[in-house]
Amino acid sequence: MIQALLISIVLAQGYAPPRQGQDPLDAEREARVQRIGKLLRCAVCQGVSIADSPASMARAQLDKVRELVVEGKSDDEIFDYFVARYGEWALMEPRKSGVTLGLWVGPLLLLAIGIFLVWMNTSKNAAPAQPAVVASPETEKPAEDEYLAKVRADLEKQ
Amino acid sequence: MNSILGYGLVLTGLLCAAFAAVVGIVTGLARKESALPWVQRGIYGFAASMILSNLVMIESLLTHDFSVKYVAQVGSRTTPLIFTIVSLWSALEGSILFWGAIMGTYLFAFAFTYRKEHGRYMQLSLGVMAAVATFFAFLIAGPANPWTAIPNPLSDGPGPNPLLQNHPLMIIHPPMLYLGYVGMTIPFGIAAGALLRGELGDAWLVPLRKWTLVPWLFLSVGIILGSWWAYAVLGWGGYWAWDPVENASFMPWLTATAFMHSTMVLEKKKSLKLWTIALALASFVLTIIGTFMTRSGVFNSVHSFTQSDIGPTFLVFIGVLLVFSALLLASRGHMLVAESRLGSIASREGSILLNNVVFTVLTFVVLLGTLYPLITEGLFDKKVTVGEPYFNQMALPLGLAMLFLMGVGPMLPWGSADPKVTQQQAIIPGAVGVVTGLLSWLFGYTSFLAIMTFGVAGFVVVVTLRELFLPARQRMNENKESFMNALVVSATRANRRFGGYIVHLGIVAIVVAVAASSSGKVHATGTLKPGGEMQVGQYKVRFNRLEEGDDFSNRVRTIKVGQLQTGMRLTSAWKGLAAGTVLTRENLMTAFQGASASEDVSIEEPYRHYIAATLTVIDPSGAETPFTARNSPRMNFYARSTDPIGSPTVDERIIRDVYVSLLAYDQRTGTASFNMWVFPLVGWIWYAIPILVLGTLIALFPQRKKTATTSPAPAPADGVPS
Repeated sequence: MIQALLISIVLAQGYAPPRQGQDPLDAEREARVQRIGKLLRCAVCQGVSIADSPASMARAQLDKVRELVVEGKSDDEIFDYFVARYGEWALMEPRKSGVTLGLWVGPLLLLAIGIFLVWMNTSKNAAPAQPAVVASPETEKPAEDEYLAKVRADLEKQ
Repeated sequence: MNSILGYGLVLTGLLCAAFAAVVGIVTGLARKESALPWVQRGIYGFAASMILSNLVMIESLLTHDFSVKYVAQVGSRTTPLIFTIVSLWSALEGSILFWGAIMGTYLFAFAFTYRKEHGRYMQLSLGVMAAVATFFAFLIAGPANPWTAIPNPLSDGPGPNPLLQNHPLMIIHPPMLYLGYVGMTIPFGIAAGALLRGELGDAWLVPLRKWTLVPWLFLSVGIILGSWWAYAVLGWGGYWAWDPVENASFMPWLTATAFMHSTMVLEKKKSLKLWTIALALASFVLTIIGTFMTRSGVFNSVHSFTQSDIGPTFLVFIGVLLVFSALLLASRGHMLVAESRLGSIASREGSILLNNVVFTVLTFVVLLGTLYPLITEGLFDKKVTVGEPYFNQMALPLGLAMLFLMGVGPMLPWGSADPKVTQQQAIIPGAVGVVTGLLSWLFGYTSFLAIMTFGVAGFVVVVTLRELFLPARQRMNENKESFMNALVVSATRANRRFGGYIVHLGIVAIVVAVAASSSGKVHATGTLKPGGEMQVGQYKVRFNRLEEGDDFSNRVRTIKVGQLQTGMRLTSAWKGLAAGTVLTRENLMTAFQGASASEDVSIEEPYRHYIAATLTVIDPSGAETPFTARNSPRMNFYARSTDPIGSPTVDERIIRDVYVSLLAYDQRTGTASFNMWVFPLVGWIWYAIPILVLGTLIALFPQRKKTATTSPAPAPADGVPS
C-alpha cells in the first residue's frame, strides 16, 4: 500500500510531458489540424480520436498531422498516409465504399422502406370533406371519442 | 460463513424463480387460474432471497470479510465508507448480484400491485418474468458467482476501480441504469403474456404502458447522469462519445420511447397492435444485448473493466430470446389485427407513425454502427472503426426530424387534418421558429444544423406551451376559474397528455443544449508557468501553482503504535502531535521515543495522492473565481492503478461552463499544460432531469375517474375475444 503510494509519488514527478516540438501554426491551419485530428483514431486509446486524447502517442500523431499540413498535403493525402500505416481502422469515419458502404446505405434503405410503409398504410384521399371514407366516425367529435371507443369495446365484449 | 449464507440465498432464489416460471407458464397455457397463488409465492420467494443475499454482501463488504471472493476483489480497508457500499456494483459479479435484487424488487412490486387483477394474463406474464429471473439467478449461482469462499484470506484488498471513487455521480448513475434495464423485464413479461394468451385487451394495456414508463424514466435519468459523469470526470471535454456502452443504453431508450408513442395509436385507433407489442419485446431484448455488450468485454471500451466469461451464457440467452420473440410474434400476430383504418399522413397518427420510423431507423443506426466492426472483423477479417463522426452524421438529421415531428404532431388532429385550420395554427409557432433561428444566427452561430435546431426548437416550444395551457384557458373563459385552479384541473383530467408535453419540453431543453454546446464551443490548449494566463472565449484562466497532497478516507481506525506508518493522519492528539497531523519520517521518529508499542492510536489512511494545478477563472467583467486544490484540475494517483486519473474543473454556470482539464505537468519547472473549453448552455442537458421526472410522474399519476365510469366494477373480461 505505502509502497504503491511511493511508486506513484515517484511517477508524479512529471507526467507525460507533451511534445511541443512543432512551431505553433496560424489559427486557420491549426483549426484544420484539429478537424483532421478528430477524424483519426488514437492507436493506443479506446475509441477516441487523436484530437481528443491526452495520450502522448496521440499527441505525437497530431504533431505528424501538423507536419503534413505544413508540407501542404491535402486532407485525403493525410488520411491515406494514416490508412497506409494503421489500416482503415485509423479512420473514425468509415469510408463510403467497400465493406463499410453498408453502414451508410443500410439506414437510408430502412428509412425509405419505413416512409413507404407509412405512406401505404395511411389513407390517401381522406380529405375532411368526405369523412365517410374514414372508418372511425369518432374522430369528428374529439371530445367524446375516448368514451365512445370504450363503450364500443365494452359492447363488443358481451 | 457469509459465503455459505449468501450463496444459499442465491440458490433459494434460483429455485423459487424456476418454480414460478414452470408453474406460471404451464398452468397459464392450460388456463388453470387456480395455480396463480403458487406463482406469486415463487416470485415473492425469489425477491426475498435476492434482496437478503445483497444485504449479506453489503455486510461482508462493510466488515471486510476477505474470505468472500468478491470482497477480496474490490474491498479495501482504506476505501471511504460510501464507496465501500458502492463497490457492490463496481465489478461484474457484484453488479449482477445487485441486478438480481432489483429484479426481485420489480417482480415483487408488479406481482403485488396486481395480485387480485388481470387473472387471465397474470400467470403467463409472471411466468415469463420468472424465466428471465431464473436466467439471472443462474448467472449469479454459476458463471458470475461472487460468493466463492477463499480458504486463506488476505488482510486487505485492492479497493474498487479508481474511476468509481472519483465522483459522487458514480454512486447513483449505475443503479439508475440498472433500474432502467431490469425494469424492461416487466413490459416484456406483460407483452409476452398477452401473446401467449393470444389476446390483448384494453385493460392489459394500462399496466403495459405504466410499467414501460417507469423503466423509461430510470433509463433516461441514468443515461443523462452517465453523460454528466463522463463530462465531469473524464476530462476530454465531452459528454457523449457513442461508446458501445453508451449505445447499449441508448437503444432500449429509443425503442421504449417509440413504444410510448405508438401505444397512443393503439389506444385511439385499435391499430398498430403487433408493432407496439414488437417494440415492447425489442426494448427488453436490447437491454439484454446491451448488458452483453457491457459485461462480456467484446468491445474495448471505457467500461470493459468488467470482463469475464459470462459472454457465451449471454449469447445463448440472447439467441433464445430472439427465437422466442420471433416465434410469438409470427404465431400470434394474426390475433392482433387492426380494428380500424388509419387517417391520412397529415394527422396525429401519421406523425406518430413517422416518429416511429425515425426512432426505428436511429435504433438501427446505433445497432449497426456498434456491431459493424465485429461484423467486418468476423466476416472479412478487416478491422474498421465506426466512430463519433459516423454516428453524428447519421443521428443529427434524424434528431432534427424528431424535433420537427414533436412540433407538428401535437398540432394535427386524429384522423385527418383540415389544411386551413392547420395553416392558421402554424402561423404563430412558425414565426417564432423563424425568429429564434435568426436570433441564434445574430448571436454568432454559423452551423446550419444548429440554426435549424434552434428554429425548430422555438416552433416546438410554442406549440407545446399552447397545448399545455389551451385547456386551462378554455376553462378560465367558460367556468371563470382562476388560472392555477384551471391549470390543475385540466392537468389532472388529462394527466398523461399534460405530463407528456412537459417531458417534450425537457427533451427540447436537452436538444438545444446539445446543439449550442457542440456548435458554439471555444477550445484553447497550451502550457502555462505559475501565474500565467490563457484566454478561452471571453474568459481568462490564471494558473496559480502546482499543489500536492493526499486525500484521506474519513474512516477512523484504531491501531497499535507499532503499526504506524508514514502518510497516515492522526485523528486525535498523540505524543505532542495535534489531531490532523500527517505522519512523516521525522515526526514519527520523535514520537516513537518512549512510546510503548502496544499503545492505541486512532488514525485515518490516505486512499489517493494528488497533484492539483490550482487556478482562477476571470470573467469578462474582471470578477475572479479562485479554485482550491480540491476542485482544481488534477491528477489522482491510486495505489491500485499505475496511471493517474485526471479530474477536470467545471466552472458551472447557467449560461455557459468554463471547463479546464490538466493534460500534463512538470514539477521541476512548475509548469502545467491545459485543455480549456467554454461550452454554452451545456448544463441544460442535466438540468432537464427534473423536468423529465416531473412530466413522467404527472403522466404516471393514477386516473381514478376514468376507470370508475367506463368499466363495471369487477369486470373480469378485459380482453377482446379472439
